[in-house]
Amino acid sequence: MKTFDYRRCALVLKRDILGNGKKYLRGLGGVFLACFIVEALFFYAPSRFGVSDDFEGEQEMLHLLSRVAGCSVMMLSLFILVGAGQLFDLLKTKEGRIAFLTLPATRAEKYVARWVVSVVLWPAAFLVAFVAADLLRMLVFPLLGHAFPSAIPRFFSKLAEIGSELSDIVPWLAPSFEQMAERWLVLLLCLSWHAVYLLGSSFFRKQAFLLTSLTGILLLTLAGFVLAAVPPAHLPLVSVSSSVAAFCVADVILFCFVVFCYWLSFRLFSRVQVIGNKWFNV
Amino acid sequence: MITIDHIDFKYGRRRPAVFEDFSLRIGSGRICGLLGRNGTGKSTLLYLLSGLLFPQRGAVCFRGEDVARRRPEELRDIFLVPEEFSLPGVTLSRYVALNRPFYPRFSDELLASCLRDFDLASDLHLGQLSMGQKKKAFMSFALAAGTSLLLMDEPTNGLDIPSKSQFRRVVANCMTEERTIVVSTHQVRDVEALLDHVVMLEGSHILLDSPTAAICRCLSFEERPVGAPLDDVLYEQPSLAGRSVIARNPQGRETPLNLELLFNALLSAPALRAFIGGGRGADNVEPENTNRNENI
Repeated sequence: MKTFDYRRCALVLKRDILGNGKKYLRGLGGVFLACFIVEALFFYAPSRFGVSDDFEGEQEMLHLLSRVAGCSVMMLSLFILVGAGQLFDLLKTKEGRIAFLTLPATRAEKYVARWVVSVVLWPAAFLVAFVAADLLRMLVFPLLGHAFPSAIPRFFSKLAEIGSELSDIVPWLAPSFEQMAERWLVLLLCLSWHAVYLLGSSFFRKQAFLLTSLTGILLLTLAGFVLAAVPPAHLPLVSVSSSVAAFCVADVILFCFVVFCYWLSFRLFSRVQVIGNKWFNV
Repeated sequence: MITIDHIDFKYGRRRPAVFEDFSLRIGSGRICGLLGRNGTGKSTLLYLLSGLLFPQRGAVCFRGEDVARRRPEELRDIFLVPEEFSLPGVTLSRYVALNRPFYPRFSDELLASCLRDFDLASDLHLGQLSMGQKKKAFMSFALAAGTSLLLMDEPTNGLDIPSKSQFRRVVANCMTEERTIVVSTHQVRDVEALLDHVVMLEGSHILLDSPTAAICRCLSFEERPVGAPLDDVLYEQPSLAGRSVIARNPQGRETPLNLELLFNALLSAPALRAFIGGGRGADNVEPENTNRNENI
């Protein structure tokens, strides 16, 4: 038996996207609307009353564009997590579970196909919706008698800034080993959150994003109480004298945590049955 | 073809067992009817057969492979038509284009023939159909998929009267020696003419597992007027015409199988099962065990 066939995986992906095309288009329309509303809220008043042509006015405009870009990056981050929470959205109904689980493909092929949809296509859909909303705003505002520059260049330069900061994870691009370990920590923290939402989607049968968020908040609050109660000297991580060593230990722990979340998520998906617990896939 | 080997299954630790040490074999080239009261596990059995549920003990094997592994090699040869299903809002041709690559023996000719027999157009849009039409379109796809094992849960639910006879015709036309169709239903009248094997479930056990030919060889199913002799009758129940009876059939006369009557008879007179299964003649049934049902 072939455990992974790229062609079959692509067929599962194609079936998912084209078979649920209307649903995904509706989702794209919703994001487009959200992006357009955000842009309109930010830009309507300044573009109507105008900004002065002097240096201060230019600075004000750049600041506003930067705020919109920052807000959009935050929305993208949220959207990435929402996308991860939708990994097994199609398993929430009995009919959906029957259709997906009886599809002749291996569990790995189905998992990867769904991963591509929720991890790659969801953020890509956000980028498309954001660009379309900004272009529409650029098209509509002049018709209303006022205009404001596009936020697209600032948004993508913001993404590039984040990308260049994260490029320090590559040994030959990082100025120092400590910097590299620190950047890895940031990246792995982001990946951990993402992996937690993937796991949540495999674990919770319904409202996976919401329930994962609530569980995460609850667990972090509990962890906060525990950490506050335990003297720092008793924690092995804090007792490490060198910051590089502390970063490295944290990197390894987070890396293991991400791998564990993926493994458990796949295992839960492999064990999903058509009838089971109402709220959990166990 | 299918072997269910000493399985235990229950939906939760505190829930009663649906199956306990349950075993069954279903051979190829037959249309098998799965009958039983509500809650006896007919749909559960179909889910176990298709790998959608895992038994807590024992195994369900299709051609020697455990279906719980959900390997594509088995899944491409098993198709389940559940009682309730969802179809995407796309045209049938797109649905077929997206799903047929998963079923190597899919036949366009068979699909066209099934759609024609069901009085459905080939260019229909799945999002614009009634429930009954959706069911017919989905069953057409299922039959055209060419799988060796086709599982159908209440296939005639939601079908109108002409569609029920269309369903029988379509299924009979698609039947081959290599194919096994398992039909789970309450609507026995809709399918009894179609079946060549019957499995009746009761309380997580098999009440009857027999070919319909063997049943009809041992028993005759008749309507007798009030006052007619009942010496050879093994089971009777009142009917509009007088009495519906199951009688001994020493001459081997062939009468149409009445599954509803047989099911009621088996519930009231379990001894009848040994009589059919053994096919040893009417003498094996003790008169006191025939338990003529006067209560209905």
